Amino acid sequence: MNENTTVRDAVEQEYRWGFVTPIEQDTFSKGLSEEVVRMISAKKQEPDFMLEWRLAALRHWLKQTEPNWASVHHPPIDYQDMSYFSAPKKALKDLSEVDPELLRTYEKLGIPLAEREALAGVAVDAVFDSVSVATTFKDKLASLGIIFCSFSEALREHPELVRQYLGSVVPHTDNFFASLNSAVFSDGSFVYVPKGVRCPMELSTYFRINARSTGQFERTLIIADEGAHVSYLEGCTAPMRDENQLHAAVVELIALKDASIKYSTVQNWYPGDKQGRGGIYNFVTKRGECRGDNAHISWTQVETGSAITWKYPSCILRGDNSVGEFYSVAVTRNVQQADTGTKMIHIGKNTRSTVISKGISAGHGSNAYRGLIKVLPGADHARNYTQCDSLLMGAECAAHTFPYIEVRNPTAQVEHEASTGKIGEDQLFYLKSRGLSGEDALNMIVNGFCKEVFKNLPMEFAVEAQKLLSVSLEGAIG
Amino acid sequence: MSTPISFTHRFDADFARVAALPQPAWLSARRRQSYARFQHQGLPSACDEDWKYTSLAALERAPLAAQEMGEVRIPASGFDALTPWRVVFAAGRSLPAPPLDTLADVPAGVTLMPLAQALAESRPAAMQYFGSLSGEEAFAEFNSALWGDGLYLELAPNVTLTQPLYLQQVAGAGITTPLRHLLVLGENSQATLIQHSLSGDGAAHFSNSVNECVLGRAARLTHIEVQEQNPQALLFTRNLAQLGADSRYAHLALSAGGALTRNDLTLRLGGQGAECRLHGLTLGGGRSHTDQHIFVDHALPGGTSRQLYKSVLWERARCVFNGRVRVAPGATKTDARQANRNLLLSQDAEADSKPQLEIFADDVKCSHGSATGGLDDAQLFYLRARGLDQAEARALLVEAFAAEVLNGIDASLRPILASWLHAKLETHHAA
Repeated sequence: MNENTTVRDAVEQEYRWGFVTPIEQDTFSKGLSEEVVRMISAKKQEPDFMLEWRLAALRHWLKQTEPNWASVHHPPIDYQDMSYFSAPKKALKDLSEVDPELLRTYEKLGIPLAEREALAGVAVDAVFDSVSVATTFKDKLASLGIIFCSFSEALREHPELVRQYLGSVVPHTDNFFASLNSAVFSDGSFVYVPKGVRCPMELSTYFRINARSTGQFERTLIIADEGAHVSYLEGCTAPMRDENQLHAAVVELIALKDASIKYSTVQNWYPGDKQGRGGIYNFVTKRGECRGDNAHISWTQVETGSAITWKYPSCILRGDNSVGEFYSVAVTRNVQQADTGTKMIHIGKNTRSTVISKGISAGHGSNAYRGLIKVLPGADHARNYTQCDSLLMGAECAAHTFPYIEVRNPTAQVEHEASTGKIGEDQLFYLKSRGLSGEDALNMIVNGFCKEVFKNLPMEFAVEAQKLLSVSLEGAIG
Repeated sequence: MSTPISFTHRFDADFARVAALPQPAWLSARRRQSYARFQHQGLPSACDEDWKYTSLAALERAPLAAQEMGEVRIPASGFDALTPWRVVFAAGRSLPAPPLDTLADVPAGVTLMPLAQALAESRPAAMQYFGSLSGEEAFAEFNSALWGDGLYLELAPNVTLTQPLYLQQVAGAGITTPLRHLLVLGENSQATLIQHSLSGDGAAHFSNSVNECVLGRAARLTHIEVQEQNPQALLFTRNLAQLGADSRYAHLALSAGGALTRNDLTLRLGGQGAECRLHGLTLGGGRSHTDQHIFVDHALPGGTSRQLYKSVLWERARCVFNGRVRVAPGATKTDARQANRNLLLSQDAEADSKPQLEIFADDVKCSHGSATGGLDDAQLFYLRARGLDQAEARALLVEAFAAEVLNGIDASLRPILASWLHAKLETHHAA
């Protein structure tokens, strides 16, 4: 295959991970009511407090209206026209019982379950639709006292931990989508790292949406007890389909004194076809709280998929000397829309935060950074540095920057910088004159533009992210 | 006790009075329409994104009586010496002396008259542009319905207004009749306008003024606004300008004091190669709240805009900067920059900054920056090590910080503005 065909193949490449696995599904009929919530809870054999919490969330959700302030456009969502639960039918005890169809799905995704240990040293809690079907490395983690399991399992095995921390960062009343999630969340991951333990491996979950018109509502809860450290990876691909799918996840991180949590995401959900038909709506609430002194929370995200992304991973810096970080690359092409950013709430003394956001818009893509830096009166010597850069490719795209900066302490130092521009013709010319093809030159410039974010990703992810980015932008420039 | 009448319904008597003024039928129809719209939409609330940080509760609560056409003291002004062309509006009416037509040595090609007269005479430019920019926001409709007096300035092509036009707007106690000005600058003409809003005494007052400015091709306007408000004052201003091709618009806003000041500056770069330079400084003490709202719309290619907004805040003062730049589809080669710098001098001061870029074209250069903090200890130490005492060192640093907004101002105007700034800061340090 010569170079020209390679480039053409890449440019015309459809969504690589687009396929639907025919597998028997246990799906509720469409609609949302107290009855549905009770059925979900009963199906999962949850304790009573969980059902009460879900019902409270539902009652609150019914009073709320859908937010419309984001710089995105989509047809109205009919929340009664989707099904709120879907699980593989068979109950599974171990890997040998896993449907071979499902295993083949993971193979296509490049995560062979059987060989993972040797392959990457990554423990994967594989989420196939809504119920976790397999968890590995458990013994290794359990010997250190680390709990890494599906949310349902955590509710069965460690209800006291769930009860103590669930909703303590994102309450069920937080916002429209968080309330919806609290009412109907199906499953997700639960991590607890005990005092003084450093998790020896990267924990990872692959989310995969597989059932037609089933909104997926994941709930992730990660707790790092005093002095603990954990790094968590979230990555996702989804099969191709032609109906919009709503995804409203909630992620809560809690870092106690001297603890640190690193949360990395590579998001590559189906963005819809060239006209944007059938892409995923990704409306996610992610928030971490540095509850103790010297705690540290770091968010890194690479967003290349979804028709619409609405996501603001945030940090509440409550403990003195705590640190929050947000590193983001968001790519929108064709007609994708992304409204993303962060909130850094400085409450404790000497709290520090860094925000690096890189937006790339190509085609008719629209990319908005929306962020809040809030320094409360008690946050003496708080420090924030924010940098948002946007790269524009094509006359039809859009890039917006909407920072909110509220400072109520004179000893705080808060800086925000943003720039927007296109790739310089001179830069492209320079690289081309040294023998690089147009595509390679573009890749090199874009990768350089995103370097500050990529270097914060764990190694495996960084490689994947770079590949993803070059595939995303192929054909973006003439 | 009866509940106070809501703000939107306090003006029926005033409206009846202005509607009965001798004026063309279309104008009174337009007033009626605006008044209906104002009452219909009511005052904006904190749910409105443009009013997120500014509460109008103070306005609703304020015990403001309708304006009596009593005596208003006209304070002496340092700007008097600058120019022979001075027009004074006291409590919303132009003072009889000196009448506009007696301004000495106004060059040929300059039309200067009350706006009402220009509309009554159906001057083509006045008819074309009056109300073309003001918009439908609540305070704009309020002004369009109730304005009483104002200025019409028209410059024929290639005419230069050789001296600045000094406009003094003194508010008395209570609700001042809104002012409305219209400036139409013909091709290649030039003018400098100094607009000085101040409180006549220490009584609470509500003032509202709207300026519409239209700049023809290659026209140049320097507009300096100085606002000195007493601690009870409520001031709402709107500046709207449309910039023709290759025109230049420079705006400097110096805002000091006031309980609540809201300045809206909306520019449309509606011609290729138009340029604007917008500088603002807010000096806030006590419980003053100042909201600077800027919207620059790059509608056509090749436009350049520069914004520099600074604030110095002490005691419980609060300043809001909301600067929005929009680059329309196709407005390539746009070069836009925004900067906001806030200096907090006390534990209770607050700065809220919202610089926004909305970009719908690719071949553009846009950037913004915002920084908020206190005085730098290292700089203070440096000065103190050279023999300045703490107070002197602080004063020097604050003044240096503030004076940056005077950069780029014409050399003939700079000294008077610098001394105004110095005096303002000195009263603060003395206090």
